[in-house]
Amino acid sequence: MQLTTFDKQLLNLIQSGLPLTPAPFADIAKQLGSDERSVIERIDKLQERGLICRFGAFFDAESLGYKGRLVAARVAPEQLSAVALAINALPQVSHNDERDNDYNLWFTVQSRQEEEILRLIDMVAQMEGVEEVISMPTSERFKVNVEFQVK
Amino acid sequence: MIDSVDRQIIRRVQQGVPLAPAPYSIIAAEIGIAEEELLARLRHMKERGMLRKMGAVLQHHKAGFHGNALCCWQIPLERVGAVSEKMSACKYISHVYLRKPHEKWPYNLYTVFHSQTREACLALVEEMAEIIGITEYQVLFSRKNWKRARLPLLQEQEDGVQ
Repeated sequence: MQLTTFDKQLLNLIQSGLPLTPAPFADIAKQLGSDERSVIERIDKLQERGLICRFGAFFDAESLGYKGRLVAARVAPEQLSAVALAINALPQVSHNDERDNDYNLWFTVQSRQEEEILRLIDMVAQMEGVEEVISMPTSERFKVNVEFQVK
Repeated sequence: MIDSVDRQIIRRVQQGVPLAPAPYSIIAAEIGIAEEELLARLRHMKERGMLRKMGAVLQHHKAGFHGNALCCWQIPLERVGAVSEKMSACKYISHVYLRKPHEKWPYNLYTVFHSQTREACLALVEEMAEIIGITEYQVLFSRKNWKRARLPLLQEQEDGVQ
């Protein structure tokens, strides 16, 4: 999809935030010298084309009482897909990536109960093909801001 | 700290905002509160840092960002504050986390770097390493992304579990 200058400006604006006002799209339109209807239609189109993966509220899991861990597993190559799919199925897992390292599968687990996190890690360690699992608990989040300036 | 109305709001707004002229009035009606109350509560959550943002997150590949790496750094404890502050100020770094290292993986600062290509991303990491004078780090590019999802927060309350 070829992005117009308007699209890029719009994407950058809605990434930094939709105003918490009664008519937020009209406010965005004003900043772009456009109108509410065009803004809404364009966001809809950009979402449909898959450029926007989510449009909504993002909460800080930690302040809602969640704890997190980054888990690294060394998995036998022939079992990697099966293990990755089994981990994907866990609702407490938000990210799961195969990476270029001896520890070839990396995923993040979040829960409000530490025991639940440990239980899940233990379960993964028992899976066929999993040779080793290590985990690094989060002690502090300095920054979480996924924003890609579109130029 | 948060009451049951806040919980209902959190569950509802993380699912998405309607693309309509008055989206908050639609959500407020669904929850059964006034639009002004919804907006006031959201603003309050934002001020307290509980609501990080209301808005869009882009699909990074489609937005032209093909080089995305998890970089793990071994930073001496007394330097963590200054280094994390420097990294947090960088637009091309989306995440900066301090984690308890593992004896087999002795890295304590975890960052995610983004750029248009892998090469450009690696160059940013190397430049950062030089600026902070750290040689102990690992750059982990994703070979295959299996999952990238937002956890639906506070869902368990719906089942009556505290």
